[in-house]
Amino acid sequence: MLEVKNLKKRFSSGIFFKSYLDAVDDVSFSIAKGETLGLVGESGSGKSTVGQCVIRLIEPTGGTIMFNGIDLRSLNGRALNRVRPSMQMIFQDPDSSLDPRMTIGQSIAEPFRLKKVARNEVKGEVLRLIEKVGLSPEHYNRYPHQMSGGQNQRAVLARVLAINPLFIVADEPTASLDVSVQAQILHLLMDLKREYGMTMLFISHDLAVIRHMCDRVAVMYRGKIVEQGPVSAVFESPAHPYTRLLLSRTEEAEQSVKQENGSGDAKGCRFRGRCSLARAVCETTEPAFREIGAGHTVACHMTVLPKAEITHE
Amino acid sequence: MAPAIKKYGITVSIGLLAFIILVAIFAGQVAPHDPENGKLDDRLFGPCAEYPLGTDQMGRCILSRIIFGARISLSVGIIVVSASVTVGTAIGLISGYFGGLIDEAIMRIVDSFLAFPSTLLALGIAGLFGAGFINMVIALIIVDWTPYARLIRATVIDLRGMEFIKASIGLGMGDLFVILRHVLPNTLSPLLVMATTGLGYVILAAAGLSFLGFGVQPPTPEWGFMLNDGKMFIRTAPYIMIFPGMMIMIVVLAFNYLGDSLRDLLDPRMKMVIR
Repeated sequence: MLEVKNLKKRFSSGIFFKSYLDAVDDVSFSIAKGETLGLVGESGSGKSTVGQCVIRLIEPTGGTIMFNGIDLRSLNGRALNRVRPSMQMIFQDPDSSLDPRMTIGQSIAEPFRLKKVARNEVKGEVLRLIEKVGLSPEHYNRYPHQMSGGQNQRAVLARVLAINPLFIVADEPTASLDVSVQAQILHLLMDLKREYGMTMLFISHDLAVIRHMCDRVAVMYRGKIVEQGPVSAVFESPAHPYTRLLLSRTEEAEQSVKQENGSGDAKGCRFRGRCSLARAVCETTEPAFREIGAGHTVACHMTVLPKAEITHE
Repeated sequence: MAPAIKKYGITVSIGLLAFIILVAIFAGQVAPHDPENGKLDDRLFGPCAEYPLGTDQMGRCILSRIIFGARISLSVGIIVVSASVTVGTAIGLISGYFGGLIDEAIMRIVDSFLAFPSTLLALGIAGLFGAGFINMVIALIIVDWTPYARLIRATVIDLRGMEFIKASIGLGMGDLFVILRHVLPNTLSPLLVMATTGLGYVILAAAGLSFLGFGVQPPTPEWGFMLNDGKMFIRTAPYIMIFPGMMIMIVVLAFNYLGDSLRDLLDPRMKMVIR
């Protein structure tokens, strides 16, 4: 379904004295039809950038993105706009995901208008979707600022369903919601995904949510994927020291590390500064991916050591 | 200020402006005398029953001239502001939405316009083209469009980062569709506020140009030029200057106040409370 190879995104600023930040560096992954891949990492690890690059809301600087056999990076203008409806994004902040000057009904009707569905059928379709996502018809004429975050996120889901995409990027869809509402939205998302047979890239910093929602998981650290594999394998036998760190202190994981000279250290493992296992080899050589189980890969020099030795404190 | 006073204030400024606009439209019916041809025998009368605001050195009724002058001032204001808003919005939208090199190029042009003192620039342009109504309008548009372009650009850059614009692009809408349907409507409230305040400024600038002789030419009645007419008689017949000066002040203040009130009213945080 989706195959991403060596994706790169470099942000630059300034005209004459450019400074660069490699937000995404050499990221490769693939998602099979109907599968959910979780992308986990702390703030600033580049996971949102990956999500937006994959559906070309941000222009990647390098790599290939194959979507159902179409090379997305080769498309432009109209051709791209024709493909776009089949991949949709759910953003972190539901309140700004809807046009503040449009009613919920109008926002959900947007895709139908784009698909040129007859005007008299649109309202019925919109009301059907409104009920499907657990809103009631009275919300049809409300404005986004009159609704709660959870209700707005439901409206966003309804708009996504109106397009009936093949692939969804969900970028921390519950991060800005109350805990009690989070579970409702996640369950709704899972139900709808199952019913519509959608494929999903689920971005989150919350490991519990990832475990609940995803089939496979990729762990990102400072623009690179460090470990990738089935959820059960990664959660039960994490191989990369960073994954272990994340799993051992879920609460603190979101704490952003200070990105000391963001892209300067091209040599060596990016995690070595925080890694208790760092050796001389980590300073000089960037670790390559190594398969350690069925579909379970990790990029770390130290994983060849027997398990007992690599426990992280 | 208490909300009640604010609401009262907005009604007063709208009422006042509506009254002035109506009077200007029906100037022919309302004005007691011919604004352009006076009786030389009735020169320099103070306010009296026949001439409520007195007469000038040519014996022309000042009230009638103020009433007819409102037409010029208001139409200059409306023409200049609507043209500036159109030009500024189009350029600001392009600049803010597409960004990059286009944005850089446009903004450097805008900067070079803003580098000149605006009144001086208008004066220079009007002087270059020659005095007259049309030339004054052109000069004022050239000076006036840049702040709108900057405002719209800044608003659009803000919007560009918002999720609903990204979502619209993600739906596969063309750029033009996204701009017209989602970007433009969301720039309207700051634009309305700025245009309203801008009207007062343009009327003032037009009066200034006319006062200096670069605007409307005599005998057409215009407030700024009436000030010029009266300045020789400021000691003997101050009302020739005072009344048109007061009109300029009232109209400009009314527009400014209206713009201010609209700003408060359209503030999204306030709107939530009101709804």
